[in-house]
Amino acid sequence: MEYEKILNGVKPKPKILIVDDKVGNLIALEKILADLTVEFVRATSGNEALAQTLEHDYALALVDVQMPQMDGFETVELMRQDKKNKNLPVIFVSAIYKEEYYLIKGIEKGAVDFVTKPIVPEILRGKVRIFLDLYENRTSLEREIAARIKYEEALKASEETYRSIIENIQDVYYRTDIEGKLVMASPSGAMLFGYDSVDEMIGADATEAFYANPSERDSFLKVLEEKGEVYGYEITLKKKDGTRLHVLTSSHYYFDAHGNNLGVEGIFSNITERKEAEEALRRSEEHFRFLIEDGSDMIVILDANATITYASPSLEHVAGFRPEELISKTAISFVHPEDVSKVTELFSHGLVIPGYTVTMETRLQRKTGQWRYVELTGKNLLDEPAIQGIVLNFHDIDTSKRAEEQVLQHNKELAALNGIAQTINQSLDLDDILNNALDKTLEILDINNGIIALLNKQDMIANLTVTRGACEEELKEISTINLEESVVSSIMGQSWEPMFIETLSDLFGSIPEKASNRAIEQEPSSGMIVPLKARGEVVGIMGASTRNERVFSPEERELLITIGHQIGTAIDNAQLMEEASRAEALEELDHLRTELLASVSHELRTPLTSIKGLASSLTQPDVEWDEDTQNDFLRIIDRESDILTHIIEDLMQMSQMEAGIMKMDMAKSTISAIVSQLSANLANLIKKHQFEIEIPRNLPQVYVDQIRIGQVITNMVSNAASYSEEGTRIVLEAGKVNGEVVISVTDQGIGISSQHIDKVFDRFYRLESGVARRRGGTGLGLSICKGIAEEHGGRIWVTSKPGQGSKFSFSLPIIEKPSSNSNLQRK
Amino acid sequence: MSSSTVLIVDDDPPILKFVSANLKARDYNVLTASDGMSALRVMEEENPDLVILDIMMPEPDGVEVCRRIREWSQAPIIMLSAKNDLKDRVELLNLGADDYITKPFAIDELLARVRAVLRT
Repeated sequence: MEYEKILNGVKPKPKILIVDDKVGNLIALEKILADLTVEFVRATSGNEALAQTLEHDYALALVDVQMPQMDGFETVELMRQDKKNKNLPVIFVSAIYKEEYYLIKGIEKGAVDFVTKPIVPEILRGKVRIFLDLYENRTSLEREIAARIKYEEALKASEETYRSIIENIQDVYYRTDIEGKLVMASPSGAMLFGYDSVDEMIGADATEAFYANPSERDSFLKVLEEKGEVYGYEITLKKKDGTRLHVLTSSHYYFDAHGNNLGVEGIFSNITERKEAEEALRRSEEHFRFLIEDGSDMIVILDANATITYASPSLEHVAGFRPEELISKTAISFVHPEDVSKVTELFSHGLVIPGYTVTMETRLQRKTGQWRYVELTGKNLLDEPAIQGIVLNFHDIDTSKRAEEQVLQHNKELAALNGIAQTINQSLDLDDILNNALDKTLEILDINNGIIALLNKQDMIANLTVTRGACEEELKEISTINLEESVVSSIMGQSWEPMFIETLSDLFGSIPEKASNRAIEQEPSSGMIVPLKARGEVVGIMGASTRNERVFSPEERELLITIGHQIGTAIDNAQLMEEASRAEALEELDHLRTELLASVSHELRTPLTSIKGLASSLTQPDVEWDEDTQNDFLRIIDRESDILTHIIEDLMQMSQMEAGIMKMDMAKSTISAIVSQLSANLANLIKKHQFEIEIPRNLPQVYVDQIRIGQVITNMVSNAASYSEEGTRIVLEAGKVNGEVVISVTDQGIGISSQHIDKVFDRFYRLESGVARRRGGTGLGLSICKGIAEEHGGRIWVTSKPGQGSKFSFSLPIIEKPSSNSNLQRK
Repeated sequence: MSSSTVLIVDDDPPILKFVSANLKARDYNVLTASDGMSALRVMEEENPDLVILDIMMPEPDGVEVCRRIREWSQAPIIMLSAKNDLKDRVELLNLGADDYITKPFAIDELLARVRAVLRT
């Protein structure tokens, strides 16, 4: 009764100490935590906080890190020096948590958590709730222990009272005659029975006057008759006023000198108080048992081998087992596999010590197979004669634990989404975004298989853009999914809602056999397809699947849907960006075309101007040109016409190359063969230079269009001649470098300055306009050479030092065994 | 009228050749330059009565040469260009060029413009 009162007494509200130098922040914290049943104690400085911790006991302290004078870390450090606050949970509130240094420092100072500003109310509330629950559990346990101690003290006290009654009240002596009438009694009898004096009692019929239950007298006499005397016989008597008296009597017959039975005499002692105390004890035991058996706390008693010897009925609520189902079972078989080692450790080390008490959290299996979090307090009472077992007290903390897990899960999800957002915001390149987003998604969910497909609604297809995990190779071959026929549309329908598929293997009938066989090998389990939406439009789908019987949890499904939205938006941004840059590229192309047109116009007009000017000069009526001049003019007209033809041919070749319709006549050949065919032509070009050819005979074969490659070599040699002094050296050489054949032409000419060197392969780019043109250049030569080299899978480049000369080179891949001519031919 | 001195500036030798041949045949004194820098030098040294100036040349181009000449000389300038849109023509005239002729051209057209410019 006392016990109950203590247990059910009014619980004080747990206190939270909030420390911040700005009162506004304190008010904000209180508002965020307003719906918790707590009492806030404010402190606006470290000193004030320390003073407050001396006065009260707190469930939790929220401490701002940045405070003037004494900062949060110092405050907590000083706080910890008081034994009472050694284990006070502290959450630091800080805007600078990002600095890892602060995080570490905070943890060193004993922070249990860090909250960054701006504070997310849900997260803070979740965190604070966890610590309130912990505090609640701790204080309720403390209260319970206090209550039990008080109860035991009460019992002890009542026993002592009883003992003093026994000792202090004198026993009563009595004598009844043969008819059962009282003939003698000690004065203590009158006092006990509530009479004024013994005289008042003498002569009364014992059965009627003193027995609470007259039949008891008959049983008493019967026993007396059988045994001649009784010792410690318990009977219930009544006082004058009718109240009952429990007494123990030792009585016997008494006889006269002749041996005649005169009646019964004896003594009795009052045991009423003791009886009542015993009754109270019994009732309170019953009550205690009721508490144990019907309360929410569960008690299990184990023997030394951890076999269950007792289980309280309350276990049925939480575990679903009736006590008798648990008796004789091994306790460890109900513990979560991940917790087994922890629990075993506890038993083999801690609980072997008599009197050792330990508290831990673990998961127990319900009859239904689900797991439930409990807090377990175990005590070794094997040496306690009344118990002889290990007493385990369970407290169901499933709800608070789940809430804690939910907060953790929520935090994890936020971190995951943040991770995805960071990943996809690093780039505006669609391929990058999709690759990174899918990788990150798989990493977060800890799975291997996933795809992202972009929709092309016009053609009703989805392009498999990124694939990971099982069937990656096979899926690459598929590359597009026909939306009208495929499994995707049949399961997603026209609504494009997220789709969870619990059993994936059912679907494999609808994908190519090769892929489905591979897919089944991967032991797929559940799958999830989510739409990637941007501005309400479905732009693609993301699919992911689990393996080995793992099924996506509802939280994971939600997470996938959210990630889908993020990726959708990122795709949209990238596509907008792509469109914008495409428009920009088109504009750039348009600009280049205009410029090219202007250049072409200029290049064509220049020889045309000479032709027209000279021709019109020759037809002037007012001038009589001498014969030499006439011939000179006609020769120039002839040459300028050739140049015009040359430019037009080059332009044709250029545009064919650009349109990708240049005809290539590929064949196996060697560089020396090509050069020897060109030799007469080359010698003619460079009569006035020292021309050297250095081509090893054993160069590997190349697979080329000989005419075009000859054109490139001729162009380079001709350029070398055009831009170097007569009599200087020009070297044509070839060699094998890194698996390629490299052909170079080196001159000792004027060279190219660094500002021009990047442009020499541009169309119509000339180092010196007039001179070059006179030498037959069109300004397109190197540009065409570049095109030809690249068409062969090679490169072209130049190194040069102004005033010392230039070296033009191009490379050709060595093709060991061309499979067929058509492979390399363009259209 | 005769014995006016004409400076012809063009980076294409055949053009220099036939223009100067024609001018000489009409008794003009002819000076030639094949780039902008030498044109400016000849301009300062000889102070010709007329400049025939090609626009499309390596730096400095005809437009730049024209601008620099106008900083100190009022000698008439006829520009030669491959471009023929109106905007360029207006620009050139604003810049101080006196006339403008588009390539390709018949020689009598150039001669007519030379005469016209020198008359004023």
